[in-house]
Amino acid sequence: MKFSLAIYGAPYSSQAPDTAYQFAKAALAAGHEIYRLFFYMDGVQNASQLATPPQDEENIPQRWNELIKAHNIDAVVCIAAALRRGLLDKTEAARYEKEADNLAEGFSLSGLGQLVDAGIESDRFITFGC
Amino acid sequence: MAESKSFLVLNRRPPYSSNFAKEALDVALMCAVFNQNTSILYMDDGVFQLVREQDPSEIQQKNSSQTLPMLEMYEVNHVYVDAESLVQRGLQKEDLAIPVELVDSPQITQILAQQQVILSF
Amino acid sequence: MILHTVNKSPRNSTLQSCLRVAAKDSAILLIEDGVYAALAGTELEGLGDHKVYALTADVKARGLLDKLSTQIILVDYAGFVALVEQYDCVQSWY
Repeated sequence: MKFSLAIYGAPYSSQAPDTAYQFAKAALAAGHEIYRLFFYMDGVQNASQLATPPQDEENIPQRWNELIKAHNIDAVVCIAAALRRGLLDKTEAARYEKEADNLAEGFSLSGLGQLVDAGIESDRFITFGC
Repeated sequence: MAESKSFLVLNRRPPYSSNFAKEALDVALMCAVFNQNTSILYMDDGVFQLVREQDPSEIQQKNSSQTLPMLEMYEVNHVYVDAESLVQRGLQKEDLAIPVELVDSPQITQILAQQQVILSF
Repeated sequence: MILHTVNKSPRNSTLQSCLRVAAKDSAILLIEDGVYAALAGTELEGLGDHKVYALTADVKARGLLDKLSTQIILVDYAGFVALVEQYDCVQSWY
């Protein structure tokens, strides 16, 4: 089956990203396809390349990045939610003349249309909120 | 042409204390833009998103209720409100900013059964 | 048929709202703080009308393994995936 996951919760502030990650891993292990991961609202923080947790804690953005790379998953971060919350890629940082960009590798900024497309194209759509 | 599925956007949070109201509305409008069979349901504290005459100027936020008329413009097919949630909160249909369809619990059960994608906020 | 996931403690009104509108043939999966609704002797009215599952990892995390109602079926993440496959649609409550 094709699954898409929408993640609304921020790492370290809610369990949503953890549950979503474990679900994604289990779905892939069972032979399913993850059509898209869509990060919305505070969930955009899962895509920050600046997360620096203590050594004995999971690096949640990095963990997502490894899963995305290993399985070639389309990981989309809602651009409007991201800009509002200070998650920018190189293009948006240049557009808005910000000093730095911080979107982690493996993630791309795009619009809400990608969330709707994921709902249309997937067999199952699951949201992880808080 | 993209397949048309039945999408339901479910709102259970009040406005202004979080961005849920605004971001849920954006999703509902986008589903309609994609020509999906789109409905929106307000229940629990979500019904507070519909209260008339909101004025968030002094909390320096945008008035999220001003976007509500776009639901009809974008042809979101149904705007459902859970009648029990209104009653629990001392509200009536007349207190709401836009025309809505009041539904009871068994009707909500039916509505949920008709959906292929449920987006909860 | 719908799989409802609930991630809030039963003291929050989320589970009540879910139970009010969940069809009898729908299943409920308790995850995260939702697993507190699985404690023996504290079951909410209406919970018994459904097949109720709880995510083992969240139950263990919270020290509840030996305190659960016998009506609860424990599932791991693979079981969560299997439930999503089995039911037509997932509704997440939080």
